[in-house]
Amino acid sequence: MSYYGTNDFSYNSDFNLRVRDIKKGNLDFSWLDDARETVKVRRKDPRRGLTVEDCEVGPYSIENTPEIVRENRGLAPRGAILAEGSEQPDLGPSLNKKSDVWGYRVQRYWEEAMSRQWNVSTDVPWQDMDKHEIPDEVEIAFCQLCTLLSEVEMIATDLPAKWSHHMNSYFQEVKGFIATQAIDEARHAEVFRKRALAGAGLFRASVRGEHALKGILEADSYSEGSVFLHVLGEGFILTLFRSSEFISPTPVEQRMFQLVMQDEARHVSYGLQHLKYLMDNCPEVRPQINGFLDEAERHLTGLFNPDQLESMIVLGGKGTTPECIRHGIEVVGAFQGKQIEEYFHRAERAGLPERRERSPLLELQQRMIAGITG
Amino acid sequence: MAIKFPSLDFFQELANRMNANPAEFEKLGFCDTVMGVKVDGDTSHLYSLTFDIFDCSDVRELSSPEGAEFDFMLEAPLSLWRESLESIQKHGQPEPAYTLNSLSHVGDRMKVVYDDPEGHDKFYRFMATIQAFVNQASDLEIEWA
Amino acid sequence: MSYYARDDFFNNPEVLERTVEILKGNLELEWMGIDVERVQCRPKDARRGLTFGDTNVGGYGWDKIPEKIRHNYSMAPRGAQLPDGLPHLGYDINRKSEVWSENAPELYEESKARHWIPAREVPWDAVENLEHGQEVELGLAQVYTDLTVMASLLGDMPSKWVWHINQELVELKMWLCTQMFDAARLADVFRKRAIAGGAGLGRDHAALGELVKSVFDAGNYPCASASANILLSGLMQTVLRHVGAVSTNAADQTIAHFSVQDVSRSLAYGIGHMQYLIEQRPHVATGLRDHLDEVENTLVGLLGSPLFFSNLALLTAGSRSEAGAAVPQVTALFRRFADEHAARRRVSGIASEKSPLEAFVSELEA
Repeated sequence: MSYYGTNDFSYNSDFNLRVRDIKKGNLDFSWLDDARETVKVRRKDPRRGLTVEDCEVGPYSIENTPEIVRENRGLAPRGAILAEGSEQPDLGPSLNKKSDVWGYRVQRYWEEAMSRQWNVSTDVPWQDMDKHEIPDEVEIAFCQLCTLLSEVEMIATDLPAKWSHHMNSYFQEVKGFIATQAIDEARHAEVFRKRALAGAGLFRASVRGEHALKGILEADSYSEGSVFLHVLGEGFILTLFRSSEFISPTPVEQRMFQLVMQDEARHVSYGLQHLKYLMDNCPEVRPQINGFLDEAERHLTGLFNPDQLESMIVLGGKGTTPECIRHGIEVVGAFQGKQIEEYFHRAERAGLPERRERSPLLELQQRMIAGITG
Repeated sequence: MAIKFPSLDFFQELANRMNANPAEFEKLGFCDTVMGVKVDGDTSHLYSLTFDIFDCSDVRELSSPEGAEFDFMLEAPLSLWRESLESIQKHGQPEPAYTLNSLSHVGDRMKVVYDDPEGHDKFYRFMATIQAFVNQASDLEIEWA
Repeated sequence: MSYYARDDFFNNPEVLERTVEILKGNLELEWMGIDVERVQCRPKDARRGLTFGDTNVGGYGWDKIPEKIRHNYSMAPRGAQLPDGLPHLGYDINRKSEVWSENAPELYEESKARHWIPAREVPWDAVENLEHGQEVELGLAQVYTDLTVMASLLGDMPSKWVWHINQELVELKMWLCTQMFDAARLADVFRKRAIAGGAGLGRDHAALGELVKSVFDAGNYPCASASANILLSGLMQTVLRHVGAVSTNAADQTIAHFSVQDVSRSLAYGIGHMQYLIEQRPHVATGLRDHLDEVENTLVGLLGSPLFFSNLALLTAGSRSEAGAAVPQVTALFRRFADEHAARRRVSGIASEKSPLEAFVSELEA
């Protein structure tokens, strides 16, 4: 036990007197007389239902919340009538600045996430797996890819969890959105695990990939963790999912990637909007974020590990003959270039155009091209 | 009765079918985006599709993308659109090489034109809905331009 | 940046060389020869789809997780081949009984299958056209404010702990993610309901703050689990059932029946967790019992607080003027809660002979 309530009610005479009063039917209704702002809330569109944005009125609106939340140290929802200063127990939130966590349009991402949930057990046509013949080497390559994906997806449950309980409860939409991310990513790890176990099994974990995951988990701030996870990491994984849908051996895997792709894109969008909000409202952190990304991008190169690269090539070429390998390399080469380009475009849009100049990723790409052509 | 591709009627028919099939599209979730579809050929055709919650609420033909506020636009030659739709007609859904994702990803046979990366990412955020929208052509009798 | 990998892969010539060789077409494909257990899981019941239960087989299943996990501190999926050099991800909950419940994988599947959407599945038109008076609406707004606070705690608790848990316990971690998600959905619907009724959010009050702090600040995961999943979820279940019963509004009834389902899953996990833990390590029951007694003390502070009690009386009676006469009904509600809570503690193996809740309710009844 770390916290003992300030009163022991077994031995509290005031409390005992109050209980006696209650038993007599003497109830205190002073709270009914609290001054409060009445609001009128209506659904803008009944098909969408009652959204968070519909409730963004008066004291409940994030627009009317100061950049730094000082008054709420407990779990009060934004707009509640707060207990008198010192009376409110302090749960110790450490992310109390809006720009530490907020992203433009986060309310919409929340509703979209609620609306677009899916179920691995029933929305993937598992019953069709036996209808398709997959060559063994392609099946093994697919399961090696599933091993990596099952491994990396859980970082995106651990990271939101690590920070969510530190966030001030006034930022309920962000806490809610990253809770949807936690379940989305659990679902992704689930689908890749189940697919591997339905097929050739789980193969080898990735040492280098895991160092990148550790870099994400041990980021010094939520914003650093977010930019690494949402913008850089998930941006790269989103492109990888797009390729994986293409190289899927059967419609079963194709469906899997179509569904996971949607979730991943939502997370990337939130990360982009958080980074943009941060750059717009707290530009002084730019050097810190850039310094962090310099190292994060180096970490990310760990994801290009031989097992993953080779399995993607086998899948892309649909086999291991020299001709298949040649074709697979073309497919993989094209998507790697896209990963980097899309990342720079997102960074630029979020207000970090300098990434293109200072990033080590282009240098790595050039070294690889030089190695191949030289 | 055969319906011409590309034509406003074709996309309007898909929109009508979507709006008449809430069970499938509500399950897929909200879809809020304005996308362009460009079919290149001897004469190019450009269509604007507005998705709003579970419906395709507006379909129109445009003379140019200027002024259209697309989140993204899919652009491909008529022959590729035809291959894709024929794959859908044959299998009820596209073969892996003919999904909108694959066509726009590998070799960039179909171009995704966008300005804002968030608009671009909407293509992926609503991919299952947009693909299901196009898959509704599986039993349409199509007259090719 | 806190973490710098020992090996700077970016400047490691071997890494670049190997990648270049692969892209030149010189693949080794050595991973293809790894000896892997093939289990070929398929759905036992097509209507349920491929569930975690269907994958609990061979070396991949959770039945094979050792009580003390010594072999893997990375994010490698359970059953994968673990190469040398995997880093330690900092997991410090590495004992199965610390967190496990046999029903967790099933609860995860149930949670996904029973997903609901507050924005669309609550008949909000009933809130736009309220038929009850202002006093009742103020009471409902207050109870939904309290429930929002409780739901926030139900999300913050797993968030605080799940990232400490070893990845071998993956189904359990996924279940905790559903708890975070379910709690966020509850916080969303309760807050929306309070605001949409026009009265707006009510008071945040110290008695409830004390209760949630005593749960949040639990010193270890089993204590946090007992107090959040058994005590707090039990309280929410009681309050929600009561709101559903006394409100004539269709929206409140819908919110109640969906929300009761969600918190009841947490109750099932909490009980299953305690049973598993105490079966493995009977000696920990004493500490858990003491912890729950302490949290019950703060619970009593809430149940006897002027605001919480008078509000339940108001909602039960339907008006402030008749609320005094509803004290016996609220007492009966507390009695039922105390009995249910005591039964849960008993079946969990952490029954108490000095339960503050029981003493408080007995005093009310006296």
